[in-house]
Amino acid sequence: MKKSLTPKRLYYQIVTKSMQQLFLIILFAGLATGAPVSGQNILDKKINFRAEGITLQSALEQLENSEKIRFSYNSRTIPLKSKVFVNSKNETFSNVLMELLSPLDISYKQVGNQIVLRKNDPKFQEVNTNSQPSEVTEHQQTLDKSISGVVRDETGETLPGVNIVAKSSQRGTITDAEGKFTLNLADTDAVLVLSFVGYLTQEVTVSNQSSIEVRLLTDNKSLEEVVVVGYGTVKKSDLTGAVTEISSKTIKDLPVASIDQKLVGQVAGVQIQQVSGAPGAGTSVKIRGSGSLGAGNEPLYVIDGMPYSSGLNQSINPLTFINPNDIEKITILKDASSTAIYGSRGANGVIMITTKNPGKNTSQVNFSTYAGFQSIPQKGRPEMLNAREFAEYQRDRINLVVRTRENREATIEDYPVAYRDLEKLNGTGTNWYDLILQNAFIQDHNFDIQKGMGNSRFNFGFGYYSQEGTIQHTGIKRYSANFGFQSEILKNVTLHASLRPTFIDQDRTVTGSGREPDVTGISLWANPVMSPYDENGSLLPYITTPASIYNTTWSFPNPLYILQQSKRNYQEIRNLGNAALEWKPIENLTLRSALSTVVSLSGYNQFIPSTIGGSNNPPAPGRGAANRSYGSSFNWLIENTASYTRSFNQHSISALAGYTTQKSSGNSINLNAGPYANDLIRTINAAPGITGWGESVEAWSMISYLGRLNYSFKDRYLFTATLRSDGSSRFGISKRYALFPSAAVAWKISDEDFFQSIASVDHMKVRASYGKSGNNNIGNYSHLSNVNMGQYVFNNNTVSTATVSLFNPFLGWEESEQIDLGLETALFKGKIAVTADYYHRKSVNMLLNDVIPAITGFNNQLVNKGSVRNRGIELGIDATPVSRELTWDINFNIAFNRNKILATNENNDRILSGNMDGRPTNVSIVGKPIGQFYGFILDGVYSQADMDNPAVAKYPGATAGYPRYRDLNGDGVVNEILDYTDLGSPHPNFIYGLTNRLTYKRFDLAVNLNGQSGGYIMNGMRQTIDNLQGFFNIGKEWANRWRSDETPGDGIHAFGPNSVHRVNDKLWLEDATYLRITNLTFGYNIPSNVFGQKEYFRNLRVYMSIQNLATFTSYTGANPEGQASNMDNTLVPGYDMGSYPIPRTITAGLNIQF
Amino acid sequence: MKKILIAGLALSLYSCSGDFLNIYPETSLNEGNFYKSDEEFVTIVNGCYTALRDLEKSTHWIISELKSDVLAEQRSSVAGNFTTSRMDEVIAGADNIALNDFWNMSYRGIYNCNKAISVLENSNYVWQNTALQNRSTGEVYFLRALYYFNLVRQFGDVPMVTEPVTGIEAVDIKRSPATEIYTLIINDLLKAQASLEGAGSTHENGRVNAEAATGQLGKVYLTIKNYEAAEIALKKVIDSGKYILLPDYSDLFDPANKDFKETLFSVQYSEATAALSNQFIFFNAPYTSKGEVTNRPNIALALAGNMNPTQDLITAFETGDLRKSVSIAYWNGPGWDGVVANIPYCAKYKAPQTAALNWAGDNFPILRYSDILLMYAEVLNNLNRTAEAATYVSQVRSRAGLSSDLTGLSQTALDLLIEKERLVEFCFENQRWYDLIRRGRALEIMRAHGKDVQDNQVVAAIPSEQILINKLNQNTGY
Repeated sequence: MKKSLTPKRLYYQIVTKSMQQLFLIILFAGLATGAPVSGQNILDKKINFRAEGITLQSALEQLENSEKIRFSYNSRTIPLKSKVFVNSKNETFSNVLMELLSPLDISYKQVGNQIVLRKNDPKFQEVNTNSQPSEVTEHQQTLDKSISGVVRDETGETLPGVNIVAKSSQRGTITDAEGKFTLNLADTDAVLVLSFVGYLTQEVTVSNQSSIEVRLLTDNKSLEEVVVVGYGTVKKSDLTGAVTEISSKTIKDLPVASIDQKLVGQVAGVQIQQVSGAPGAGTSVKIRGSGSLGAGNEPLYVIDGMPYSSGLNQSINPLTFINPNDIEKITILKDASSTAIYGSRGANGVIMITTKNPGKNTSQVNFSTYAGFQSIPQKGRPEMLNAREFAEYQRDRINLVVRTRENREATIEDYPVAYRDLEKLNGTGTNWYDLILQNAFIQDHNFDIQKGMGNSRFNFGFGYYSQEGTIQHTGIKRYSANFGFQSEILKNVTLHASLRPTFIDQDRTVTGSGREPDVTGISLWANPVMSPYDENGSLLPYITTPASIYNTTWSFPNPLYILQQSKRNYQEIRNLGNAALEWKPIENLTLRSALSTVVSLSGYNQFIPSTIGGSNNPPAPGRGAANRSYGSSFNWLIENTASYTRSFNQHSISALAGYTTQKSSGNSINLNAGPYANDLIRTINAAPGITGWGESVEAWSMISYLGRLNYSFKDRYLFTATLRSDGSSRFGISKRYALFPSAAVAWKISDEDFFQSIASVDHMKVRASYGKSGNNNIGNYSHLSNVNMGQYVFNNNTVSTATVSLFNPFLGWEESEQIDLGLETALFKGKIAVTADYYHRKSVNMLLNDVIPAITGFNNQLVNKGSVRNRGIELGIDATPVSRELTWDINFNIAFNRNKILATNENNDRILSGNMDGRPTNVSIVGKPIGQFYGFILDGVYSQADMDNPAVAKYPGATAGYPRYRDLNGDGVVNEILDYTDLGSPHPNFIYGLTNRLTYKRFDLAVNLNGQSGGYIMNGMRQTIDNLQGFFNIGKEWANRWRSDETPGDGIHAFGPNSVHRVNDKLWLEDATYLRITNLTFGYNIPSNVFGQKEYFRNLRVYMSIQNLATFTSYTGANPEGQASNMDNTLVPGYDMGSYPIPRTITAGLNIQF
Repeated sequence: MKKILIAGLALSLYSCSGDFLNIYPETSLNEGNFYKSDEEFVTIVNGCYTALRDLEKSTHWIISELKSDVLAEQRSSVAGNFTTSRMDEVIAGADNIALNDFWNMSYRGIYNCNKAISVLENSNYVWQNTALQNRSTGEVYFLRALYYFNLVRQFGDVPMVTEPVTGIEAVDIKRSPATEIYTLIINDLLKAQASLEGAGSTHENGRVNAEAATGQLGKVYLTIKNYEAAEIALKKVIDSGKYILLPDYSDLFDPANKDFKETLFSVQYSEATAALSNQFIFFNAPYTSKGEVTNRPNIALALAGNMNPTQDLITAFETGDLRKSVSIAYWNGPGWDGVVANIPYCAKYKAPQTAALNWAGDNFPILRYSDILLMYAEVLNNLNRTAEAATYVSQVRSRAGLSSDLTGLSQTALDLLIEKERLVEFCFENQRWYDLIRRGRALEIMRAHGKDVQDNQVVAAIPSEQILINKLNQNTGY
């Protein structure tokens, strides 16, 4: 670098030096990413270029590779197959282009880092890139009117080179470097047609205005678009697998914390369930059904190349650490030919997230913000008995006890005072559910800047997100930053680096588990007669319910007080870092070496003061207890890949080979302390002792080799093959390496000659793929036989004990084989695009926690057994029925998946799962879907006649008025488990999503819907709110309960002194069908000249958005997608336990770009 | 810049050595690198005790004392706990979780014993200390016999597993006749007795010893009514002179004073940690008494506090029986239904001494010298040596402050007196239910106690899950 210092070079050196230091910091902090680089004055650059008799297409590709620019063109108008002859030495790039293109009558224009090619139309004479646009003067007509204007893209950036034609007179022009144009129109002209490669063609009606501003929308369906796939990119039209890409543009402005929530209803075959409405809570994501019994069904997330996480975490969603505002693109890999490149982690599909890069060589500043309120719709609040109904119900119970115990009718004196005056209770009493809810504030602010200079560019951004919970005293705050940098540090060597630190501060509570301290649970079953406040209006810590010798009582802590006084705070700082070097030693070959890291430090701080009691256990001094845990983890990945692309004649090849190593390690320490003498000091130092402690150390490692070959012939017949080998520390010593192959073919039928006559079909491709991928979520040490150390005591002398666990040296990954047949077609000039897929996915060697006879000393053992099949159909339709001034885009998708267990273990035993008072709630049986609900068939209520009839099967302790369950095994006795049967499937018949976007002038309106049809959900709260023991409040429907043989009610709602309510078909299972209006957004783009001639901003958009506008469902619980926090959603799906309700969020927002 | 490139390349060429994929847990040991010293084998043997500790702590009392006429659910008339109230009413079916837990924990204990036996007998390791090896061998056989003894008394025929088996092998193991299980128990106890006699000075209080094995053998013989063999075994313990009756009955249950003079074998607990401790007082204290009985007002009685001594038990104590006040105390306060009363509770297991939490350290007796004496008396009486038998009953009665003059009692009267003495002497020690079924008196006494016991309830149901998984035959009537 010792060269004479021109001012430009000096500047360059200063920048690169400081960048070098920065890079060192980044490298050792372990971080980074990037995109192509282009020179600033590329057209003036002197280059050598020789092309003798190759096709124009090859020549352009060579230039793209050597000069790091991109050519954009319409392959229908540009004669790509024409042979070209150029031999230039030390010529400027513009001269080379001229020499190359002018014989073919092609003009060009530089736009950013792209060079746009256009076939010169004989009708338009003049296309000079540097001149002002001029009108077409073929036939000089009367100048009726002149119109001028500016064309921008969606982000407000001006678009040069846009083709503008008046529809009737065919007069035309193109926009200049500032995106401006002027055109003289004939008096017949009323409609302008604007077109530009990569954008939707738009028609604009002009009336009398002399100046217009037009915004072109990106053509998301553009077939030339490049799609991110595993370890590379591929042109959309060349995809051979089932891959769906979502641009951040289509899902912007949704007021949610993480990207998965934005994807709801967007992609066919991707089921995203919002199992909890708690701020920061995770979602359950399933791609193409449930393919696992014991290793989870969540897809693999890959963020900028780093396999990031998988697995459902209801407390804190790992995707919360990725600011959705930083995300550029999301690709969902569904079929095995796309996921096999991720080997033993690809079986459940892959969601690839690409964050924003420092892409353009310009300066740009963005600021976006929104704020609003969240509330729980009335529909989401379960209906319970009100105070008067509850008092009547308690009196009924007392009447019964007095009658049976004392053989007399009860008098008013037998009732507790609180229940005596029904008139006074005429109001609703306390609605505890409403009490703990609030209207909650939400806000999000993001700032980012991009800057390019010389061969280097960077971006920097930060974001702040804050969401209060709709349950009081819960919420989350996120502080995120990102820094990206890229530079061509040497000739043909590019460095990319990025840092993405995020800090989360989350206040939690307990929901979705039923009894205290679950605040949603308490607020459902709490006695509505009692007031949460004392006579002075201050909040009561503890509610003592009225008791008498005839009725039992269930006192409880005030749920609002629990929220107010207990602390459950989680904090984590997590950084994603990326650093990559890309070297192109020779033409067509790229070597890439990348280091990615995820570093995390987390802490959980819980303190439950002595003022919080439990069920029938009033608070007492000196009971405060603390729980602290601290964790740290470090996960690194080194990837080395080589990729080579080459085209010759009609063949085109691209090959990839790679070698990766990854290791993750983490440890955590957990301390329980107490009981605190008082609640004044809540740190560990004030505790009298540590009551429980633990440390866990977890680590795993992987070594992988991967390869891919893409071959295409005539750009029409496409073939892809991949292979990955994974070695993992998680696999048993006898089964350490796994091989995952895949292959796919595709045929662009529409490019065949015989297809050219079908004008309505723009594009049609059929594809077929087969592949294997795996699921390695089996825990880190499951294959080892551990010697578990413990303690025993002999005469107060503590000694060590050792017990040996079972082991399985053959334990390995779960394997999934998938066949996919797809059809992609675009019709009527891009107005409709349809993608349809059929898939057949068979998972074998299921990781199964096999139930084994207890006489082995164990109840289950992790083995590779069993097999599950998922097959289904996915249909996605993109349509633009109207694309004039008013444009209307529709995206509709629907997916039908059928899940079936093909085998479990040798005996094909059923798998029982779930736990309700110690009983299983779900069963997995061969021939049926995973996790069928499991319980009694309810045959109504026992009458006295039933009780007297020995032929009617009963359970011990049954009396008239008790629920009558069917004796399925016919042994004459109703028995838990033995008389259970499968009651129905938790899986929907189909899921669907519908997105509508309307744009009119500067206004836009988007409505997103999603839903599911069929499938059951189990309302687990019925364990308590159907429990007529008299302790708890019960659901409204129990007003119609059995009272006597003469007044049997509706025949299914039983009533007895001690009802035995268990999972059953009629009461506990409810239809989970729902339709949700996920989002409605209304926006307006303010013209940049709103403050007069001076344009202070490039783009300013204001909008209003309503998230979760409405949910239509017959489910009586809060959320038809609820999932208990302590239940595994693989084997116990659809088990709701009073989950945190999903808020409706109304926000107003603003995006501005300078 | 070059340096960075080189550094980058060096990083990227991070090569795989074979060790990269070998990751072992840091927080636990692995069987591959275990069994290297006497000490490690001893820890494996110590591990055989832990299942016993856990099942006595949580489950055994439900299926023995609560099921018998000794304890009753406090809430049963109103809203009993599903598992315990059905057991209290003696209407428990195959779906009762206590039976399932008891089955699982017993077989877990048996697995640990089988694993220990297989490593003790099959490894090439040579013990440094032969006495220690004898002690360890004896402990394991004793414990396996004890687990099986409880199982066979509860369920009758049960699967016999004598070595570690896989899940696939286990499916083929069906129930063995009770007689074969008793043969295994006797053989194990004979091996235990022989080995423990060679334990020399390695004995530690709290561990199984030779007299415990002999005494347990006597109990097994008595249960299968082999009175001759029982007589020999029990006499051997008495003649060893190593055990006495403590002068004060209450000293037996003082957690501060761990007894090894009268107690031949007990499950050992400690207040030190949650795992080592029991929660007996927290089950036994009246539900509504808060901290007044446990002296730990900060501890919720939650699901505990379900047991009351029955009126039949209370009246079984003769006037002046010193054992009564040690066994049963009263707390005055509102019950579950809000009615203030003197509520009795089991006072044998006292509140924790120093632990702040619900950790109590009372040992739980399995075999006491008074048991040996009363069993010996029962054996002699059955062998028609009634007068001789009465002298052993007198020893126990006189310690309790009762008349020790039993001369002239008929064989039948003495038999009934022994039954009653066992009831009051061993209340809350998981003896009563087994006494009732051993003596064939369960149906008669439980029905007199007011429970409508079906004939089949004398033998417990095999847990339904095991019927399904292991394809076992069910006992009649379930």
